[in-house]
Order: sequence, then structure tokens, then C-alpha cells
Amino acid sequence: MGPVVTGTRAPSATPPSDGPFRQRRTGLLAWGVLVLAAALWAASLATTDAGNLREWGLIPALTWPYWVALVLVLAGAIGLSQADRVRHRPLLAHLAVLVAMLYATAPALEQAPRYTYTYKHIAITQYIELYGSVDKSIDIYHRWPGFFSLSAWFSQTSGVLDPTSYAAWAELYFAALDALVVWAAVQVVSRSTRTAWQATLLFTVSNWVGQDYYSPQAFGYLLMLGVLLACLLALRARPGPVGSWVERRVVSAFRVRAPLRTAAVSELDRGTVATVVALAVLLDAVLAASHQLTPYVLLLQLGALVVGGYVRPWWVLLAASLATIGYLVPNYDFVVNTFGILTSADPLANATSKTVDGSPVLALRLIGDLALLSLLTCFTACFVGLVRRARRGLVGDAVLVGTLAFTPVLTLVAQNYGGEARLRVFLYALPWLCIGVSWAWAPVGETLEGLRLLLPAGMTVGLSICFVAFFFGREDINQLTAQEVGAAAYLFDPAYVQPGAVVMLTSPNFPARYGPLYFRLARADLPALSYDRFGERPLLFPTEQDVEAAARIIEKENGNGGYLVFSRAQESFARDYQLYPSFALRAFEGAVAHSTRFKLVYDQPAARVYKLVP
Amino acid sequence: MAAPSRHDRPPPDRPSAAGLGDRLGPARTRDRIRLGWLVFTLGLLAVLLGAAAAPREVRGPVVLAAATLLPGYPLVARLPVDLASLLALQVCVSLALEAAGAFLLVQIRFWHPQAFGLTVVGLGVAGTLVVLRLLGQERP
Repeated sequence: MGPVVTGTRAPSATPPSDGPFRQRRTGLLAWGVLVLAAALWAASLATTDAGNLREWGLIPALTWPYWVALVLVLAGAIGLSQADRVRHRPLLAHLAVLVAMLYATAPALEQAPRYTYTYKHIAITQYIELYGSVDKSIDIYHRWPGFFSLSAWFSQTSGVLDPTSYAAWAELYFAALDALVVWAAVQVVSRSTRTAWQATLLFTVSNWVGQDYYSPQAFGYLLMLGVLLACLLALRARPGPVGSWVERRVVSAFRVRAPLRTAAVSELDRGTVATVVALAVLLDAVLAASHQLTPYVLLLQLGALVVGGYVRPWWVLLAASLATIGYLVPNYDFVVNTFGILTSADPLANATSKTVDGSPVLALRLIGDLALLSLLTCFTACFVGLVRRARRGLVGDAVLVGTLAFTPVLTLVAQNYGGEARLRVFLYALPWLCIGVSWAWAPVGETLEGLRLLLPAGMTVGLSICFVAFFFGREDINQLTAQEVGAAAYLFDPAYVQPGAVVMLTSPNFPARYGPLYFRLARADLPALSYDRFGERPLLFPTEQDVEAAARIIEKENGNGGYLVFSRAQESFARDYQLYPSFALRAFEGAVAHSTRFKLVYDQPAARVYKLVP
Repeated sequence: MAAPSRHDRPPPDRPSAAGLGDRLGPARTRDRIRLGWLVFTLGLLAVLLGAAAAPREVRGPVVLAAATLLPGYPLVARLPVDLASLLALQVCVSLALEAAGAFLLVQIRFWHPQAFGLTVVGLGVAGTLVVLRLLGQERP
């Protein structure tokens, strides 16, 4: 007997009972809502002013049509994903508009690519465009140049020579492609298109980590999803001894009455399997040359699947390991000497390590709490979903998805990844977490009725709120204006600034690398701030003494000239993380401007550069 | 009557399996052919726009679309998998092949991106035509 589903309607192979008139009415309504939402979004873009952002970033700046449009699209997508019949075209259109609304809004409103760290990636691409090669002695990016080579090739063949002009749209591009691969993978694992739509919708509104920007991480993530999709498509097998043991433990722990042998096993012929394996190895090899962390997380996930017997043959893991570790070997000394392979063996320390000095303002703390809430909700709801799926007899599915969702956590045993480890863990786990979350309310892909609809609706809306808070709520920090990018271009232009010069930042959050000649400066990120002290004392009422302290720090570097930068994004960062007392930074700039030690050489409302007078 | 294509067989999971079963079956030959013509058109368009030195606002998106879909299509188009998986693999393989080629050019200091681009499009379009012919023969 099949599983009994109470309060829900189990999916059926028979056509839905709706009449043609009702079906057509529902379809028209869905398309109408979508068109209205798209029009409102366009209107909001025309009426939103993204200048002068403060705490909460873009959230207060976005006009009401944006929020109405977002609610309409979410409502439409949730409604369609719970309808009797899965309508792929309107669901696809809703998802596409949602992805655009979430990932294209900031680039459409802003003058330059967001995130200061985007510019160091642009710089490597520009280096390759200029020199046609890499120099491994410069930095780690030159040792993993897969993504940068691809981007430089695209720049040259498309005629869009400067990546700055398209980098802003990378988030939209990668988010859309990720959604495609996630949809395909979920569908293969769950064998349900309804679950695929629901999980992809959740993935889209939960991916607040912000790693889809112009970066090797975004490219590597796509390739990683591609490798896992290929393995799940072609190499899925019945569990081996370890997998069977785990399944028996799950059956016993969660009192599963009738475990079913329904796990999808690959039915592809040997030729197809060989082709897919070859393609997966290609993807993994390119991934190994593109990003430092992702191939190892992939090895963890793939290794766990191979050990469980869910993916066979075992030598696929060997091939992936050879590609990944083989690429590391010639770069091993550099990595060990520069960063270290293991940060700490304490997972808690790795998960909670702090990357930013200062004390965030209330808005940022709330945003951080919402992000943490989103993360914990996804892991918890996923666990519930896996248990529910297992209790319906589909133990193999639950163990497989649980393996993929929870193995990235093992990364915390070795690395804090510059304080971002917990974010990366969430990112790598997210597609699989979303499958588990969607199983929490519909363990076998059934539709819900009445009040039970509130569960998926509430979860999706709640995760969307967390997404919007994290993704747009820090935009005053993430945003860069053309004038700030102009200041960076000035500093890295040999016509103005001598090679070997030192650039001091009054606060973090300025493009510390820009342009193909970025490596010529001795230092471009010399901090004025050391913990809570500016120079030699806290910056309270800036005086000539503070100006002299800054000048001395620069001179200590023995650079070929020194520069001090003030910019809008630095000021926002200092304000949001309370690095200085209110207005102290502006007062300090006043002191610098009146000092004989510095001379103003770049002057724009959003960015000023002062040159140290020898 | 012609025999049905190997891509037109029913999906492997039957609805009887625990109420599941709306997993997509292998992509229809018709859809593979449509995708092939789209890829072929994009490839040609990218070359034409490049040759005509079209404005980057036009050329950029077309080259991006072609680069996202093209070299991977001939390699995955005949895999008996569903359309979404096929498209997902096609995108990943296309970008991976281009990244691998560009990486190689950078490593051996033989940076000729335009020539590599033409090679990618040429091989991709030729492969696409071969696959389209094969798919046409399979079509019932």
C-alpha cells in the first residue's frame, strides 16, 4: 500500500479534476499577476533613488511598487507550485521574474558593480587581457585563474573590453544558471517536478550569501552543481553496506514502518554513463583550476555519496581527487606559507570567527540575526523534511539528500575561510537543504489545502524577508559610485601615482586593487585603524596630531609616495560598524585638508584622495 | 511506420512508486532539434556581429548567450536525459570548455582570444549541424 497522506492531496498521474474553463481562468490569472508585477517592478526602478543610502541600505529607498511586485510574484509562484496541475511555463516565468527582481535591481539602480572585492577580480581579468598570461608571484588569484581566463576571453571576443561594464550583471547571470541546475538536480533526486519548483523557489529566496557576484566562487559553484547533477543522473546506485547500515539506523530511529525501495537508480546505458562521467571530470578539472575551496567541498560531498554507495563506481571519486589535489600540489607551498591549509581544528571557532573590527549598529545586528535565523530555519526544516520523507518509506532519498546537505558542515573542522566559513557552508548546503525544506510540508510532493498552505507560504515569505534584509539592507556599504571607482582608477594609474606607492584607507571598504597594473603599488590597503585606535590614540576630536600619526604610518612603509583616501563607502562602513565616533572621520578629513602634510589630488563629492607631502 | 526514437521512451519512474512520478522523461527529439537550431543561430549571429564590429551593447549579450550554450550542445544533445538536465549540463560543459581553453592559452602564453573564439564557434556549429542531422534521422 502506498503512503497515506492526511490533509493533503497526493499527486496523481490522472489529469486534474478542474474543468477547462477553470484551468484557463487560473492560467490567465497567473499570467496577469506576473505581467502586473513586472510592470510594477519596472516602475519602481524608474522611481527609486539609490543615492545617499544609509542604515538598512536599499530597503527604505525602494518605492512601494517594488514591494507590491515582490508580493505578487511570490504569491503567484507559491500558488502555482501548490496548484493541482504543475504548470511549467507560468512557473518558469514567475521564477525568472523573481530572479530578476532580486538580482537585477541593485545593478539596474547603481552606477558601478557592487562590493569592493569585485574590483580585485576585475583587476586580474584586466591583467590577463593586457599581458595574455598570469604571474604566479603576484597573488593567489594568478594561481587559480580558470574563471579570470574565461572572463578575459569573453571580454576580448564580445568587444566589451572592460569587465567593469558587465561585472554588475554577473549576479543575475549566475543566479539564473544556478536556479536551472538546481531545478534539474532536485527533479532528479526527488523525482517530482513540483518539489523541483518549490525547492528552486526556496533556493532563490534563501541565497542571501551574496556569492553570485563576479567571482571564481560563483563560477565554481555552478560547476560544482553541474558535477553533482551529472553524478546523480548517471551514477546513482542502490546503497552499499555503509548506506544500507545508515538506512537501517534511520528506519529504527524514526520508526519507519514500510521502507520502500524506490530510490531512483541510474538506468542510462554504459555509453551514456561514460560520456556523463567524462563531462563531470572535465567540469571538476576546470573547477580545480578556478576556486580554492569549492573542489574540496565537492570532494566531501562526492566522497560521502561514494562511501554510502549512492554513487558508483568509486573511481569517480579518485578521478575528482586527482584533479583537485593534483592542481594543489604545485601551489601547496604558496598556500601554506601565505594562508595555511588548516585555520583551526575547532569548528565552533571557525564558525564564529569575526572578520570586521568595530561594533555593528542595531540595523546591521538585526540583519545578521535575520540571516542566522534563515540559516537555522533551513537546517532545522530540512531535518524535519528528511524525517518526514523517511517516515513515508523513502529512506534512501532522505539519507542521500541529508548527506549532501550536511557534509559541507565538515568544512568547519579545518577552515574559517577568512571568517566566511559559516556562510560558505550554508551556500554549499543550500540546494539540498531546500529539497529537505520542501519535503517538510510535502514529503512526497503532494499539494496542500486550506490552512496547511500557510506553511509553505509562510516559510517562503519569511525566507524572502531574510533575503531582502541581508541582500539589500547592507547596500549603503556594498554600493560603489562611479566617483569612488574613479578614485581607485586614479590611484592605480601610473600616470598619476608612482609604482611602489602606499595607499592608506581611513576605513575598510574601498577597492584595494583596480586595473591591470594593480600589483605595482607597494600597498593599497594600509589601514589607518587598528582595532579601536586610530594611529596612536582613539579618534575623538581629530587634531594635527592625528594627521601626523597617519603620515607616520604611511612613511613607515617606505613607499614611493603615500596617499590617504576618504570615500562614501568607507564612511558608510565606519558609521555602520561604529569604527569612529560620529562625525570624527569628517572632522579628521577637515584636519587633513588644512594640514601641510597632505595635498588634495583627487576631488569628487563621493571620494577624495590626498597625497602625502614629503 | 518509423521506430520511436530512443529519446522518446517513457520516463523511468512510474506514478505507482509512492505517489511520485511526474519526473520529466528524456527530452523529446523535437525539443532537442529546436534547441540545436537556437544554438546554431546564436553561433552564426555571434560570428556575424563580430565580423561587422557591431556595437558592444548588441554583440555582448549575443556572444554571452552563444558562449553559454554553444560548445556544449553537440556533446550533450543526444544524452537520454530530461530537457532541464540536458540544458543544465550543456551550460556547465560549455562554460567549462571555454574556461579550459582560455586557461590553456594563458598558461602557455599564447593569448589569441579571437582565434580561440572562432575555433569554439566553428567546432560548436559544425558539431551542432552533425547532431541535428543525427537527430533528424532519429525523429519518427
